Amino acid sequence: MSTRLDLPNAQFATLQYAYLEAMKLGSGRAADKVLQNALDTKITVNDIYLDLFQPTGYEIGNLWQRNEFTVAQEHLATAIIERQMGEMHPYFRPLQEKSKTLVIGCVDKEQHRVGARMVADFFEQDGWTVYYLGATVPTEHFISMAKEVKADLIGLASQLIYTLPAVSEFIRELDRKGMGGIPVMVGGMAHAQQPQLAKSLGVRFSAVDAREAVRLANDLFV
Amino acid sequence: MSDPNDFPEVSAGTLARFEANRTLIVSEVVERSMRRQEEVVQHGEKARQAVTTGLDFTTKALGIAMQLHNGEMLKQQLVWGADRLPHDGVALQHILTRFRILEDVIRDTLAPADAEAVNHYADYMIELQEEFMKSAIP
Repeated sequence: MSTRLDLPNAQFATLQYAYLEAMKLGSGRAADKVLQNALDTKITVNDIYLDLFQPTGYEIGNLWQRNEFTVAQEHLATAIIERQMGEMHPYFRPLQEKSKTLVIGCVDKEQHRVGARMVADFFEQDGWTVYYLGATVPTEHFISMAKEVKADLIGLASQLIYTLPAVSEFIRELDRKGMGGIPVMVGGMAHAQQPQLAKSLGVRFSAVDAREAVRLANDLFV
Repeated sequence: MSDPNDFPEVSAGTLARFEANRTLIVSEVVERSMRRQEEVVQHGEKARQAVTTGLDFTTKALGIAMQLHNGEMLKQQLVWGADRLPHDGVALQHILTRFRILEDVIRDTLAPADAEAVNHYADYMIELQEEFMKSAIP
Protein backbone atom coordinates (compact mmCIF):
# COMPACT_ATOMS: atom_id res chain seq x y z
CA MET A 1 0.00 0.00 0.00
CA SER A 2 1.12 3.53 -0.55
CA THR A 3 1.00 6.63 1.57
CA ARG A 4 1.03 10.23 0.51
CA LEU A 5 4.45 11.80 0.64
CA ASP A 6 3.52 14.65 2.95
CA LEU A 7 2.63 12.31 5.79
CA PRO A 8 4.80 10.45 8.27
CA ASN A 9 5.21 7.44 6.04
CA ALA A 10 6.84 5.04 8.51
CA GLN A 11 4.11 5.71 11.05
CA PHE A 12 1.39 5.24 8.49
CA ALA A 13 3.01 2.14 7.04
CA THR A 14 2.90 0.56 10.50
CA LEU A 15 -0.75 1.50 10.95
CA GLN A 16 -1.67 0.31 7.47
CA TYR A 17 0.03 -3.01 8.05
CA ALA A 18 -1.73 -3.51 11.39
CA TYR A 19 -5.06 -2.46 9.92
CA LEU A 20 -4.76 -4.86 6.99
CA GLU A 21 -3.77 -7.65 9.38
CA ALA A 22 -6.92 -6.92 11.40
CA MET A 23 -8.94 -7.20 8.21
CA LYS A 24 -7.29 -10.49 7.33
CA LEU A 25 -8.36 -11.76 10.75
CA GLY A 26 -11.82 -10.34 10.16
CA SER A 27 -11.52 -8.69 13.54
CA GLY A 28 -13.44 -5.46 14.02
CA ARG A 29 -12.00 -5.19 17.53
CA ALA A 30 -8.43 -5.38 16.22
CA ALA A 31 -9.29 -2.79 13.58
CA ASP A 32 -10.73 -0.56 16.32
CA LYS A 33 -7.44 -0.74 18.23
CA VAL A 34 -5.53 0.40 15.16
CA LEU A 35 -7.97 3.23 14.66
CA GLN A 36 -7.67 4.27 18.29
CA ASN A 37 -3.86 4.25 17.99
CA ALA A 38 -4.15 6.50 14.96
CA LEU A 39 -6.47 8.92 16.78
CA ASP A 40 -4.21 8.88 19.85
CA THR A 41 -1.27 9.99 17.73
CA LYS A 42 -3.30 12.99 16.51
CA ILE A 43 -3.63 11.77 12.96
CA THR A 44 -6.58 13.61 11.47
CA VAL A 45 -9.77 11.81 10.57
CA ASN A 46 -9.27 13.02 6.99
CA ASP A 47 -5.90 11.29 6.83
CA ILE A 48 -7.41 8.17 8.39
CA TYR A 49 -9.95 8.10 5.58
CA LEU A 50 -7.46 8.75 2.82
CA ASP A 51 -4.42 6.89 4.09
CA LEU A 52 -5.91 4.05 6.08
CA PHE A 53 -9.41 3.26 4.82
CA GLN A 54 -8.91 4.02 1.14
CA PRO A 55 -5.63 2.16 0.51
CA THR A 56 -6.82 -0.74 2.67
CA GLY A 57 -9.97 -0.97 0.57
CA TYR A 58 -7.92 -1.05 -2.61
CA GLU A 59 -5.57 -3.64 -1.15
CA ILE A 60 -8.48 -5.84 -0.11
CA GLY A 61 -9.70 -5.70 -3.71
CA ASN A 62 -6.25 -6.75 -4.86
CA LEU A 63 -6.19 -9.63 -2.36
CA TRP A 64 -9.52 -10.89 -3.69
CA GLN A 65 -8.24 -10.59 -7.24
CA ARG A 66 -5.26 -12.78 -6.31
CA ASN A 67 -7.59 -15.24 -4.58
CA GLU A 68 -6.05 -14.43 -1.20
CA PHE A 69 -9.33 -13.05 0.18
CA THR A 70 -12.76 -14.60 -0.20
CA VAL A 71 -15.84 -12.64 -1.15
CA ALA A 72 -17.08 -13.05 2.44
CA GLN A 73 -13.82 -11.66 3.84
CA GLU A 74 -14.05 -8.73 1.45
CA HIS A 75 -17.62 -7.99 2.54
CA LEU A 76 -16.68 -8.29 6.21
CA ALA A 77 -13.77 -5.86 5.79
CA THR A 78 -16.03 -3.39 4.00
CA ALA A 79 -18.60 -3.69 6.76
CA ILE A 80 -15.93 -2.96 9.39
CA ILE A 81 -14.72 0.11 7.50
CA GLU A 82 -18.28 1.38 7.04
CA ARG A 83 -19.06 0.86 10.71
CA GLN A 84 -15.93 2.78 11.69
CA MET A 85 -16.80 5.55 9.26
CA GLY A 86 -20.16 5.84 10.95
CA GLU A 87 -18.46 6.12 14.33
CA MET A 88 -16.11 8.80 13.01
CA HIS A 89 -18.85 10.84 11.38
CA PRO A 90 -19.17 13.23 14.36
CA TYR A 91 -15.55 14.27 13.74
CA PHE A 92 -16.64 15.63 10.37
CA ARG A 93 -18.46 18.60 11.86
CA PRO A 94 -18.65 21.49 9.42
CA LEU A 95 -15.72 23.87 9.71
CA GLN A 96 -17.85 26.63 8.19
CA GLU A 97 -21.31 27.01 6.69
CA LYS A 98 -21.73 27.14 2.94
CA SER A 99 -24.92 27.64 1.03
CA LYS A 100 -24.12 24.78 -1.31
CA THR A 101 -25.82 21.43 -1.67
CA LEU A 102 -24.41 18.14 -2.88
CA VAL A 103 -26.41 15.05 -3.78
CA ILE A 104 -24.15 12.02 -4.04
CA GLY A 105 -24.57 8.30 -4.53
CA CYS A 106 -23.75 5.32 -6.72
CA VAL A 107 -25.15 5.06 -10.21
CA ASP A 108 -27.72 2.38 -10.88
CA LYS A 109 -26.34 -1.18 -10.40
CA GLU A 110 -23.17 0.11 -8.70
CA GLN A 111 -22.79 -1.50 -5.28
CA HIS A 112 -19.42 -0.05 -4.19
CA ARG A 113 -20.51 2.83 -2.01
CA VAL A 114 -17.69 3.37 0.49
CA GLY A 115 -15.88 5.91 -1.70
CA ALA A 116 -19.02 7.99 -2.18
CA ARG A 117 -19.61 7.97 1.55
CA MET A 118 -16.08 9.20 2.18
CA VAL A 119 -16.62 12.04 -0.27
CA ALA A 120 -19.94 12.86 1.39
CA ASP A 121 -18.25 13.20 4.81
CA PHE A 122 -15.52 15.48 3.43
CA PHE A 123 -18.13 17.76 1.85
CA GLU A 124 -20.09 17.90 5.09
CA GLN A 125 -16.95 18.92 6.91
CA ASP A 126 -16.40 21.62 4.30
CA GLY A 127 -19.79 23.07 5.14
CA TRP A 128 -21.89 21.74 2.31
CA THR A 129 -25.37 20.35 2.85
CA VAL A 130 -25.01 16.75 1.75
CA TYR A 131 -27.54 14.14 0.70
CA TYR A 132 -25.77 10.79 0.53
CA LEU A 133 -27.95 8.21 -1.22
CA GLY A 134 -25.82 5.06 -0.97
CA ALA A 135 -25.54 2.18 -3.44
CA THR A 136 -27.29 1.52 -6.76
CA VAL A 137 -29.59 4.53 -6.95
CA PRO A 138 -32.10 4.45 -9.84
CA THR A 139 -31.35 7.39 -12.13
CA GLU A 140 -34.88 8.79 -12.08
CA HIS A 141 -35.03 8.90 -8.27
CA PHE A 142 -31.50 10.28 -8.02
CA ILE A 143 -32.42 13.17 -10.31
CA SER A 144 -35.73 13.76 -8.53
CA MET A 145 -33.88 14.18 -5.25
CA ALA A 146 -31.38 16.56 -6.86
CA LYS A 147 -34.28 18.65 -8.16
CA GLU A 148 -36.16 18.60 -4.86
CA VAL A 149 -33.23 19.83 -2.79
CA LYS A 150 -31.97 22.21 -5.49
CA ALA A 151 -28.58 20.55 -5.75
CA ASP A 152 -25.64 22.72 -6.74
CA LEU A 153 -23.54 19.66 -7.50
CA ILE A 154 -24.17 15.98 -8.14
CA GLY A 155 -21.65 13.27 -7.27
CA LEU A 156 -21.73 9.87 -8.93
CA ALA A 157 -19.77 6.78 -7.93
CA SER A 158 -18.96 4.33 -10.70
CA GLN A 159 -16.28 1.86 -9.70
CA LEU A 160 -16.53 -0.69 -12.46
CA ILE A 161 -16.40 -0.41 -16.23
CA TYR A 162 -19.83 -2.05 -16.38
CA THR A 163 -21.50 0.89 -14.70
CA LEU A 164 -19.92 3.55 -16.91
CA PRO A 165 -22.86 3.53 -19.36
CA ALA A 166 -25.10 4.40 -16.40
CA VAL A 167 -23.04 7.58 -15.96
CA SER A 168 -23.62 8.57 -19.59
CA GLU A 169 -27.30 7.73 -19.26
CA PHE A 170 -27.51 9.85 -16.10
CA ILE A 171 -26.05 12.85 -17.93
CA ARG A 172 -28.49 12.40 -20.83
CA GLU A 173 -31.42 12.08 -18.44
CA LEU A 174 -30.32 15.18 -16.55
CA ASP A 175 -30.31 17.09 -19.86
CA ARG A 176 -33.74 15.71 -20.79
CA LYS A 177 -35.09 17.00 -17.48
CA GLY A 178 -33.68 20.46 -18.21
CA MET A 179 -31.16 20.14 -15.38
CA GLY A 180 -28.03 19.93 -17.52
CA GLY A 181 -26.69 23.06 -15.89
CA ILE A 182 -25.98 21.22 -12.63
CA PRO A 183 -22.34 20.14 -12.65
CA VAL A 184 -21.69 16.45 -12.13
CA MET A 185 -18.54 14.93 -10.64
CA VAL A 186 -17.67 11.26 -10.80
CA GLY A 187 -15.32 8.99 -8.89
CA GLY A 188 -14.27 5.37 -8.66
CA MET A 189 -11.47 3.03 -9.63
CA ALA A 190 -12.03 3.37 -13.37
CA HIS A 191 -11.68 7.14 -13.08
CA ALA A 192 -8.62 6.99 -10.85
CA GLN A 193 -6.96 4.86 -13.53
CA GLN A 194 -8.15 7.05 -16.38
CA PRO A 195 -8.93 10.65 -15.37
CA GLN A 196 -9.77 11.53 -19.00
CA LEU A 197 -12.82 9.26 -18.81
CA ALA A 198 -14.80 12.09 -17.23
CA LYS A 199 -14.67 14.06 -20.46
CA SER A 200 -15.82 11.07 -22.55
CA LEU A 201 -18.77 10.60 -20.22
CA GLY A 202 -19.79 14.26 -20.28
CA VAL A 203 -19.23 14.91 -16.58
CA ARG A 204 -17.54 18.05 -15.28
CA PHE A 205 -14.67 16.40 -13.42
CA SER A 206 -13.43 13.30 -11.67
CA ALA A 207 -11.36 13.08 -8.52
CA VAL A 208 -9.02 10.44 -7.16
CA ASP A 209 -10.04 11.01 -3.57
CA ALA A 210 -12.38 12.94 -1.33
CA ARG A 211 -9.98 15.79 -0.62
CA GLU A 212 -9.45 16.44 -4.31
CA ALA A 213 -13.19 16.24 -4.94
CA VAL A 214 -13.86 19.03 -2.40
CA ARG A 215 -11.09 21.18 -3.83
CA LEU A 216 -12.28 20.81 -7.42
CA ALA A 217 -15.90 21.39 -6.44
CA ASN A 218 -15.06 24.60 -4.59
CA ASP A 219 -13.06 25.78 -7.60
CA LEU A 220 -16.27 25.55 -9.63
CA PHE A 221 -18.05 27.98 -7.35
CA VAL A 222 -15.36 30.59 -6.79
CA MET B 1 0.97 -4.26 -30.80
CA SER B 2 -1.83 -1.75 -31.49
CA ASP B 3 -1.79 1.49 -29.53
CA PRO B 4 -4.87 1.39 -27.25
CA ASN B 5 -5.01 5.19 -27.35
CA ASP B 6 -5.21 5.30 -31.12
CA PHE B 7 -8.19 3.14 -32.00
CA PRO B 8 -10.60 4.21 -34.73
CA GLU B 9 -13.98 5.47 -33.59
CA VAL B 10 -16.84 3.01 -33.97
CA SER B 11 -20.01 4.42 -35.52
CA ALA B 12 -23.25 4.60 -33.58
CA GLY B 13 -24.80 2.23 -36.13
CA THR B 14 -22.10 -0.39 -35.65
CA LEU B 15 -22.40 -0.09 -31.88
CA ALA B 16 -26.15 -0.53 -32.06
CA ARG B 17 -25.89 -3.59 -34.33
CA PHE B 18 -23.20 -5.10 -32.11
CA GLU B 19 -25.38 -4.58 -29.05
CA ALA B 20 -28.44 -5.97 -30.83
CA ASN B 21 -26.49 -9.11 -31.70
CA ARG B 22 -24.49 -9.39 -28.49
CA THR B 23 -26.62 -12.13 -26.92
CA LEU B 24 -26.49 -14.12 -30.14
CA ILE B 25 -22.73 -13.66 -30.37
CA VAL B 26 -22.23 -14.77 -26.76
CA SER B 27 -24.45 -17.81 -27.32
CA GLU B 28 -22.50 -18.91 -30.39
CA VAL B 29 -19.11 -18.35 -28.73
CA VAL B 30 -20.31 -20.45 -25.79
CA GLU B 31 -21.40 -23.25 -28.15
CA ARG B 32 -18.05 -23.34 -29.90
CA SER B 33 -16.14 -23.04 -26.62
CA MET B 34 -18.07 -25.94 -25.08
CA ARG B 35 -16.90 -28.20 -27.91
CA ARG B 36 -13.39 -27.82 -26.53
CA GLN B 37 -14.09 -30.16 -23.63
CA GLU B 38 -10.51 -30.07 -22.41
CA GLU B 39 -10.89 -26.34 -21.69
CA VAL B 40 -14.17 -26.51 -19.76
CA VAL B 41 -14.11 -29.88 -18.01
CA GLN B 42 -12.70 -28.35 -14.81
CA HIS B 43 -15.92 -26.39 -14.31
CA GLY B 44 -18.04 -29.57 -14.14
CA GLU B 45 -21.80 -29.04 -14.35
CA LYS B 46 -21.34 -25.28 -14.12
CA ALA B 47 -19.22 -25.10 -17.27
CA ARG B 48 -21.82 -23.60 -19.59
CA GLN B 49 -22.88 -21.01 -17.04
CA ALA B 50 -19.28 -20.12 -16.21
CA VAL B 51 -18.33 -19.63 -19.86
CA THR B 52 -21.53 -17.67 -20.56
CA THR B 53 -20.95 -15.35 -17.62
CA GLY B 54 -17.35 -14.73 -18.67
CA LEU B 55 -18.30 -13.94 -22.24
CA ASP B 56 -21.18 -11.75 -21.17
CA PHE B 57 -18.76 -9.62 -19.15
CA THR B 58 -16.19 -9.69 -21.96
CA THR B 59 -18.61 -8.50 -24.63
CA LYS B 60 -20.08 -5.85 -22.32
CA ALA B 61 -16.57 -4.52 -21.69
CA LEU B 62 -15.87 -4.64 -25.42
CA GLY B 63 -19.05 -2.68 -26.16
CA ILE B 64 -18.30 -0.05 -23.52
CA ALA B 65 -14.69 0.33 -24.71
CA MET B 66 -15.95 0.88 -28.27
CA GLN B 67 -18.66 3.26 -27.11
CA LEU B 68 -16.14 5.37 -25.23
CA HIS B 69 -13.49 4.85 -27.89
CA ASN B 70 -11.15 3.69 -25.17
CA GLY B 71 -8.75 0.81 -25.73
CA GLU B 72 -6.91 1.48 -22.49
CA MET B 73 -10.02 0.53 -20.57
CA LEU B 74 -10.10 -2.80 -22.36
CA LYS B 75 -6.47 -3.35 -21.45
CA GLN B 76 -7.22 -2.81 -17.77
CA GLN B 77 -10.01 -5.37 -17.92
CA LEU B 78 -7.74 -7.90 -19.57
CA VAL B 79 -5.01 -7.30 -17.01
CA TRP B 80 -7.62 -7.90 -14.32
CA GLY B 81 -8.80 -11.09 -16.04
CA ALA B 82 -5.29 -12.44 -16.48
CA ASP B 83 -4.69 -11.94 -12.77
CA ARG B 84 -8.01 -13.19 -11.45
CA LEU B 85 -9.41 -15.83 -13.83
CA PRO B 86 -6.69 -18.48 -13.39
CA HIS B 87 -7.89 -18.67 -9.76
CA ASP B 88 -11.35 -19.54 -11.10
CA GLY B 89 -10.04 -22.39 -13.25
CA VAL B 90 -9.79 -20.34 -16.45
CA ALA B 91 -6.25 -20.58 -17.84
CA LEU B 92 -4.68 -17.82 -19.94
CA GLN B 93 -4.85 -20.17 -22.92
CA HIS B 94 -8.59 -20.67 -22.42
CA ILE B 95 -9.12 -16.92 -22.48
CA LEU B 96 -7.07 -16.63 -25.66
CA THR B 97 -9.01 -19.43 -27.34
CA ARG B 98 -12.32 -17.73 -26.50
CA PHE B 99 -11.13 -14.37 -27.80
CA ARG B 100 -10.20 -16.04 -31.10
CA ILE B 101 -13.59 -17.74 -31.26
CA LEU B 102 -15.22 -14.41 -30.43
CA GLU B 103 -13.45 -12.79 -33.36
CA ASP B 104 -14.62 -15.58 -35.70
CA VAL B 105 -18.21 -15.32 -34.46
CA ILE B 106 -18.24 -11.55 -34.89
CA ARG B 107 -17.06 -12.04 -38.46
CA ASP B 108 -19.74 -14.68 -39.05
CA THR B 109 -22.53 -12.64 -37.45
CA LEU B 110 -22.08 -8.98 -38.37
CA ALA B 111 -21.87 -7.34 -41.78
CA PRO B 112 -18.25 -7.08 -43.01
CA ALA B 113 -17.83 -3.36 -42.25
CA ASP B 114 -19.26 -3.75 -38.74
CA ALA B 115 -17.19 -6.86 -38.10
CA GLU B 116 -14.02 -5.09 -39.20
CA ALA B 117 -14.66 -2.18 -36.86
CA VAL B 118 -15.43 -4.40 -33.86
CA ASN B 119 -12.61 -6.80 -34.58
CA HIS B 120 -10.09 -3.99 -34.47
CA TYR B 121 -10.73 -4.09 -30.74
CA ALA B 122 -10.96 -7.89 -30.63
CA ASP B 123 -7.59 -8.12 -32.43
CA TYR B 124 -6.11 -5.99 -29.71
CA MET B 125 -7.57 -8.28 -27.04
CA ILE B 126 -5.95 -11.25 -28.74
CA GLU B 127 -2.60 -9.50 -29.13
CA LEU B 128 -2.62 -8.49 -25.50
CA GLN B 129 -3.58 -11.94 -24.29
CA GLU B 130 -0.73 -13.41 -26.33
CA GLU B 131 1.61 -10.97 -24.63
CA PHE B 132 0.35 -12.04 -21.22
CA MET B 133 0.99 -15.66 -22.10
CA LYS B 134 4.52 -14.94 -23.27
CA SER B 135 5.32 -13.06 -20.08
CA ALA B 136 3.82 -15.88 -17.99
CA ILE B 137 6.23 -18.46 -19.43
CA PRO B 138 9.08 -18.98 -16.94
